[in-house]
Amino acid sequence: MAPTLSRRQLLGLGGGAAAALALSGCGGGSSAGGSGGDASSTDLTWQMWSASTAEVDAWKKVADIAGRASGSTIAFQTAAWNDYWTKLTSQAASGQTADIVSVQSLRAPQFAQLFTDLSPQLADMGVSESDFDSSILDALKVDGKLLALPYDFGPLVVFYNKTAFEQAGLALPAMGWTQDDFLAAARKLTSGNTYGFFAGAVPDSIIPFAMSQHGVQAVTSDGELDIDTDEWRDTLNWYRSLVVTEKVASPLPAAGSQAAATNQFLAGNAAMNIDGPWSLINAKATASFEVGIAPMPVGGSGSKTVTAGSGFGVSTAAANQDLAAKATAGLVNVESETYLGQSGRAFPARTAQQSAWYEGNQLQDAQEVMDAMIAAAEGYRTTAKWTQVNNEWNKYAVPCFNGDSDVDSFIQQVMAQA
Amino acid sequence: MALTGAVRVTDATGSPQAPAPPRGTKRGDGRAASAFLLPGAIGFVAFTAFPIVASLVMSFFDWPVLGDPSFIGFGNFVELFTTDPVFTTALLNTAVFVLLYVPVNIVVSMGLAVWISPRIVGRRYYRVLFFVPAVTPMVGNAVVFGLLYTPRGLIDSVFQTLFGVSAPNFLGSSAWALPAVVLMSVWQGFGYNLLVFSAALDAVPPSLTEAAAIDGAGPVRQFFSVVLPLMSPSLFFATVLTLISSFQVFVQPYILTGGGPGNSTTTLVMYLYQSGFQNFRLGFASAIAWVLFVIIMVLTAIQFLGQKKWVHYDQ
Repeated sequence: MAPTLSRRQLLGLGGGAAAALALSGCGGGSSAGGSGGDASSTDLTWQMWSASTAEVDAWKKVADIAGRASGSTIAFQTAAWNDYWTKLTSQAASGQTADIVSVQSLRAPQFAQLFTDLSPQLADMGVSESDFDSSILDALKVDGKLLALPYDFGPLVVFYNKTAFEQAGLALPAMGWTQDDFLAAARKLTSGNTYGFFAGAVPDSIIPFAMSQHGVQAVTSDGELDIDTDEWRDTLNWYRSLVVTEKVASPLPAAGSQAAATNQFLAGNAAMNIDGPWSLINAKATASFEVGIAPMPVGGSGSKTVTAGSGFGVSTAAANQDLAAKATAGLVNVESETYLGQSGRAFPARTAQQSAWYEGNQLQDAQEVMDAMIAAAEGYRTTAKWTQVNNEWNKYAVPCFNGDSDVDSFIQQVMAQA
Repeated sequence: MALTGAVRVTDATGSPQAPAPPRGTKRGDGRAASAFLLPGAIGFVAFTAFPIVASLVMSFFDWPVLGDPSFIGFGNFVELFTTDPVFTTALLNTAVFVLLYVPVNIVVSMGLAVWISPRIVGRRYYRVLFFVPAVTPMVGNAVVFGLLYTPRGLIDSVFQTLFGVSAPNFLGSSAWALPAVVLMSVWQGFGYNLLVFSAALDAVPPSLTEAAAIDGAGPVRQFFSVVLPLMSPSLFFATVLTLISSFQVFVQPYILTGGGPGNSTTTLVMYLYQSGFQNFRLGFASAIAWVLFVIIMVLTAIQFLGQKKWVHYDQ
């Protein structure tokens, strides 16, 4: 009797324990995903994308600075760039974001509902709007709500292969160089498998040209997507001709390869490319040639461009809104921005701290171009459906710029996302 | 009741070792069994049953990621089949992918399995070699194929060296992108079926082929009239699984082409992902998932009905 019973009990206990384990496992999982609102009152969470352990270390250091400034403890959560947006989407769907959420200005309209409006609390946070570059501050505002405080930004400019220019006996692109100069240089730099320019399939590669040629962006100042215009048709046809008729840019390899432009430039296969200062330090360190930056070549509307950047905002789900707001201010305070600038992690959105970026990274020679382009830039405008627009743009630009389809069908496909 | 009776009988015979156990075991096993089943059942309910039901429910809603869902009945399904331009393309792309991929995969894996089935030197090494693509992560394979396919990639360089002309811009051309994705998928996927066929070939009794040879059947006749019918259960198994997995193709277009150029490589699951996680339409994405489920279920059911005609289970 006794042995049978105890065996039965043992079985029951074993099963029960396994069930309890499974249950507690589930419980642990869900509470770990929580916003931390139930933790002690000075604990905050902050989510941010990153690409390397060096970056993670830098962000953790910024978290420490902000923690000290706001009297909180900030736990850093991270994911790679692409995964970050998928993760943020699914977290938003279940209402479980971190207290402080990082956002790129281009995606601000898309995630607007996730953020608390910071404008009424700026004084309490000890933040003055005038300390920041106004174009990026505007880009992080949606319907008058300030979603996030910017930490970095930059104008899209021309990156060029200085070594290739010198070898070809070309004058280096300087302030005031024109689109004719650009095309002449691109022709001279194209031979065999190397091209003068990389015609990227993303809006970022084309909008600066549309700005310089016609002063238009893809999204109007009213927030409407509109590329079904004569101005855009002209710019797109010009851009397409770089690949199809001038053949100074290589045929586009595939949709979905955002890194293609940077990689082709860094590999020395394309001598010019459109990129932002956030890539400059890495480009200089990686390329086997000397990298220079030039202003947008002067077109019908001058030398103009757009700025984009990123910032940190307070989630509406944050339990302690005041503390989260103070910590957010700490993430972009003078100390944080100086550190980010000096270490080359970001071109500071705080104007007074920008010198740290030039001085800390021996980039004084870039300052003239940067200053001029920042002055000539508008904030990069997007819509709430920008990811869709970007995807369709990317997919349909490939056949269009490769000469398989025309500009009108490209415009039609992209405008279907309006 | 019968069992209880038996227990009483056992008791009555006075066997000292086994008085209570049968009765006790019956009750106790019930409890213990449910306790053991509980962890699995919880997992099943939480991670399988609940999401399935939830996605069915969601497919009847306009369910944005941010904001409140609203019930729209069959609205998502109606939109899919009437106004949505991409869905038809995705359906067509998926069908083309399946029609190209499944036969090529079966023929290649069967061909290679037959080739390495005689006792050729290094046979085991070939098996390992052919299986390597199937066990390497598909994302890695896709990235490498992306580099091979790209202009100035390996394939293009070989073309230029051998023929003096550039290779097609495989992933950048609407005509070539889908075949390029199929090619990469076959390379990735044939190893698994090869193992299945290889094992089935080994199980064919040599006496049968020998008998056929004595009757004057050549190697081709032997293969099609003796070996293939004997392998038909494996062939059926491989076809069903390959068909199901090929309808769910996602990683290859996601990494290689992003669904482009245009929508030329947007498959159903790719479109599902874009709808749900890029366009934030969770209800619409769920509707796509259910349409895909029904398609796969119907085709699999047809295969199961059809197998009576050509699959031989008794040897």
